[in-house]
Amino acid sequence: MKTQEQELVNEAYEALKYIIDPEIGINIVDLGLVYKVTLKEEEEKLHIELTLTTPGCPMSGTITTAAEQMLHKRFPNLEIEVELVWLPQWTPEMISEEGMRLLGNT
Amino acid sequence: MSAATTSNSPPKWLVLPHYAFAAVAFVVLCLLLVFSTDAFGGHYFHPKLLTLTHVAALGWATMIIFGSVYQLLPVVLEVRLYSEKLGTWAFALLAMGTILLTVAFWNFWVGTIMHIAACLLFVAFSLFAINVVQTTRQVKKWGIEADFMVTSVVWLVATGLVGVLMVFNFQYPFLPQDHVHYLKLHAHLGMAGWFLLLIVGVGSKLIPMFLLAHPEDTRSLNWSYYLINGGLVLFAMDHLFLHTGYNALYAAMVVAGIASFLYFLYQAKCLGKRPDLDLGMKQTFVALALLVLPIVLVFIVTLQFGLPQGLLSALYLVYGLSIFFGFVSALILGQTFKTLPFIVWMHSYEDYVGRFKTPMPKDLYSVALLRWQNITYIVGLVTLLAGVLLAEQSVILLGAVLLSVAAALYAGNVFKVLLHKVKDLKPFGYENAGTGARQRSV
Repeated sequence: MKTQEQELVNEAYEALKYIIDPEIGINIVDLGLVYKVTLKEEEEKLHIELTLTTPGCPMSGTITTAAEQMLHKRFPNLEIEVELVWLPQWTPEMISEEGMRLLGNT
Repeated sequence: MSAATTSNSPPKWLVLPHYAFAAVAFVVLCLLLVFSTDAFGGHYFHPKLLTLTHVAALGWATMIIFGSVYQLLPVVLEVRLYSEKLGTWAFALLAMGTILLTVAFWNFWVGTIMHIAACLLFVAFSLFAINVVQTTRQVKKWGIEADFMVTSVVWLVATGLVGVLMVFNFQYPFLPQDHVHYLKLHAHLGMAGWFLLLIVGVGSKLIPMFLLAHPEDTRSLNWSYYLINGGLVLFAMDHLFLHTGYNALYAAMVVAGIASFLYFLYQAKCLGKRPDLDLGMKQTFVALALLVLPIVLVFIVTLQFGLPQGLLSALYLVYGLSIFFGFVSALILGQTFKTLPFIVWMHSYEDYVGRFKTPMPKDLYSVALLRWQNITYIVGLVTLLAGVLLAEQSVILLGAVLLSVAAALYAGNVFKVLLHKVKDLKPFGYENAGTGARQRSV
């Protein structure tokens, strides 16, 4: 991946960290809900794959809208596409080290 | 990767009225308790005690369970609720039936009003059961949770049916045995069949979810399901037809089923990635600990151990109170603040996320009120149970007053959440978000 593209992807992850799961209280990136951020340069599109802690979660619409809004604000010149995916199934092992620390695990 | 569907959440106007009615019913229940201290000196077949039990079982517990199930069924089973209209009708009939039955029992009017109330309640249960069964028919990935939920509504309808028969039997006696005989059946079908199975079914999904645990081994839940239902079916058959008196054996099966469920939760707690429990979850574990009381008491009242009649009567009362005012109420008091703020938050802020800084669900209620609610509740419960056991009216009164304070704090907090209004939202911007913004929902 080109350096510029990688920087933009990193910025997208940073922007998504502002979205906090309202039940758990930590951001969706450290919670491990964001699976993939891809820049499709030729289409000027940012594609996000994210999941939820459980398929029945009532937050599906809210979190995807939040991700779209946050990224649109951060990258007004790019088209934002957020896809909700279920595979692989989210497990608590996907929580990052920082996420574990925020949850109170030492 | 497989693409996901959108949220299956029902509209808030289906769910929230149940919480409002239940909060008012809990206050009414505790106030009626204050005026019923004289009823705890004898047998449990007493108009005031029957009133209290039905306000607790119907207006408080069943009402909030109906509302929660409409919200949680799509979460647990990953499908949409079958019918919102059926849900609205079930709410209206349950509310009317509960109010009429309360008035009828308090005054012990065994005529038309009680008959109408019983029929309204039976129809409400049936509509709810149809809604749950039809919803589960859409389930693609059937799990033991679905078994628990479907079976619990079957027991709910059975409990209602026995209730209707008893109500008509008051005026037109036709049942072969006395009322107390059927009351035991009615009560245990309701307590173990409806409340317990439903709580185990929903709890086995939600509690691990709140703890951030994914227990994959559900063998203990399977044991729980078959032991509780096996014990109940044998108890009902024996009680109706055989009269062998092996009730302690059936109770042991149900208790073993509860133990299996608790073992499942213990495993989830060990796997959980969330060591810091909030007040709602702490109260949930208090409720589970309170299960010890009815578990011990069910064997004492069944086997009797040659205890004097006065003490046995008091123990029967403590047994019933430890279920409704103990386990069931403690669980609702805790879980309300895990579910209600989230539901209200979702409906209030879903259009603002990503564009404005919004509060978190936990900002919608008062933590101080919740803390005092939990303290006054547990002190009130212990005082009430001690008063009944010692047959001391003044102690019962003190317990009832403390529980009324807990109920008022609970209702205050519930209505604070229900009446929450979105106001003064500041537009979100990365330049003004700062690091602190990461602890806020946007």
